[in-house]
Amino acid sequence: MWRCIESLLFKTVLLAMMPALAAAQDPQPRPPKTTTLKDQAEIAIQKFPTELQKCFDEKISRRAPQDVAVDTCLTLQKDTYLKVMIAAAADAAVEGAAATLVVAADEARPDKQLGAAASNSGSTSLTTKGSVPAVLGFAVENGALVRSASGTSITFIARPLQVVQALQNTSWGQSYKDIEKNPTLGILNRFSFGATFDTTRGGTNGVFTGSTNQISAFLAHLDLLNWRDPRSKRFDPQWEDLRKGALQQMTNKLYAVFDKVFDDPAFQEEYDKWKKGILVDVTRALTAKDATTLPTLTSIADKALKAFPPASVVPGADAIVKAAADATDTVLKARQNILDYVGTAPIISLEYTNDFAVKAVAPAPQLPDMSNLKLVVETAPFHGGSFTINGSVTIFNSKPVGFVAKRLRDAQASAQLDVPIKTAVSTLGNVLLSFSGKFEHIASDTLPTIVAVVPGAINLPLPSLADAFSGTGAALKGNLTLFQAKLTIPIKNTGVKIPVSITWSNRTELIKESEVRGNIGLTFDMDTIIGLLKK
Amino acid sequence: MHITNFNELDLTGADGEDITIAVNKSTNDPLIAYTLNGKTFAGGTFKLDKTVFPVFKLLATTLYKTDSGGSVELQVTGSSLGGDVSTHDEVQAPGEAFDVAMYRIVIV
Repeated sequence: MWRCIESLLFKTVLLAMMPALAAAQDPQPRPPKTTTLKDQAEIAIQKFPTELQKCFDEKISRRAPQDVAVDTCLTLQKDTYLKVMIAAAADAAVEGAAATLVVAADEARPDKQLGAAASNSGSTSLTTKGSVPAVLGFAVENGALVRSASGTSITFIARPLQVVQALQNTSWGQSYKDIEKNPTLGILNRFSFGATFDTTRGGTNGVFTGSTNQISAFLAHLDLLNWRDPRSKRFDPQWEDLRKGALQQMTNKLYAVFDKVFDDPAFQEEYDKWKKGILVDVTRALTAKDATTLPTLTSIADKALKAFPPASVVPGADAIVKAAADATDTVLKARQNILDYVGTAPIISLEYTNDFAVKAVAPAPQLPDMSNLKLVVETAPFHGGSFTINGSVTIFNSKPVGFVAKRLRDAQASAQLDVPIKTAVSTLGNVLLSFSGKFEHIASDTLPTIVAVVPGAINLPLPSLADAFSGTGAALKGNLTLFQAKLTIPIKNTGVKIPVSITWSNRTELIKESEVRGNIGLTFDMDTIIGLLKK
Repeated sequence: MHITNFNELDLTGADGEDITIAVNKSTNDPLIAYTLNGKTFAGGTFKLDKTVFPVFKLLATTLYKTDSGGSVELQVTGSSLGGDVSTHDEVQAPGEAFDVAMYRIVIV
């Protein structure tokens, strides 16, 4: 009965999150997360139609005449035209330099662990990362790393505090500030919890049911130290320096564009002509109020912004616009430098995992569940990359009965280097190439007494031995060495990542024979979309 | 202070009137910088003076700390009784680093 209630509760929480997931699916293509002037202009162009519609609807709701509403919403006082103009003025050298910067978006962070630990069937990770998603993440992975039999695992990880805040009417940024101001919330926010489901369990032939009898592990994660958030007051001095220096300089230069170029009568004349040329089409699109509105507006805006009057109609304007472009570029770089600095802060965390032993089929003896305590330390030796080390011990929760085994099952150490790779594929984010190595010492044989005491019994044909005991926690004494190469491919602006890995090991926990395995997975980080959803 | 043509950035004010600009609310703690009549302005209150400029111009730049989810609501009010309250929203598009808004206050 309790298992039914647990399962029902779990499914209810998942279902409660689904509307948020569905609502977050923005049908419009998301702009790239980049720091160049050109990209900022592209983002402004993409934003323009929706801004125009929002502005128009708001003016009409305040009973503005239609022509006044359209005219007001096309005002030069907003920044779309400015961004397009200064991006056009940015010379090739500036663009080239800016383009070499690597984006420091949350999505590109290499420090988040979304999948299961290596001991789970299906895991694609030898080394556990230092951070977990702020709200909710889930991962589906297939394969095996240290075990002999492959499987599919589905892992959910969440910070309960931020899940509650996400479901409440609290803005994303406000929730962060609340946590930072309130010490109790700050402590609670350091904890996250997760569950891994093994689809080979529960007698459903690999089908995920979400029922409690498929749960293979529970984990609790504690952030001992994690400073990688640009909104943290720890970075206020850097942001304040930027605001007082480069940002103020940029604002002064942009002011000059408005004052000396946009307000110049010669430019105003060209602008009025430009506006007159698009007014009928824009008004028609804005008032259509049907499915054609946004595509039509997008098409009109795209053409119109390309035909926007150049600054050169005002004598001396080119230098003013160029100065504004340079000042803006400086701010974009300075902002990126701060985000780079934020991204190199260390992360130290502690993770406890309770692995539930596979239920033995009588008359086979049952191994007890296992507890694994892991210390994770992560640093960023260079921008975008990270270096992570893990140290852990695993014990049986009780003395195994019917087994030749000790309470201490194993001790493990691993390290991983993540290197970002730029791709030319626009739909992909920063691809991450990871190299990982792991050493596992199994203190003693953990085998059913009947197998251990019968001479030659462990010389059973290897597949039979693996089939009989894999997943139970049974193991042969000795040392395992594993090396892994992994490619994590993010789908830009979706929170979805596809990890693909190949792992070599000198043996598995049960079979003393080297092998090579491939693993593939799918992970989802809700942090990427919650920010948009909870403004 | 009054809003002209339903444009919250297009304002009129009386000579000698105090105008105040403030961040009413924001998310993700963005940075704001101002330039008033071509000079650095720390934000807060300034007095309209026709002998200085017939039209006061105030530029507000918002720089976002995060990649998405940032927003700011700027509010401009005048000291004269019965005036309007100008509220201007900036909402960060994904990947957008900054937003800019130019206020124009004509002294009447």
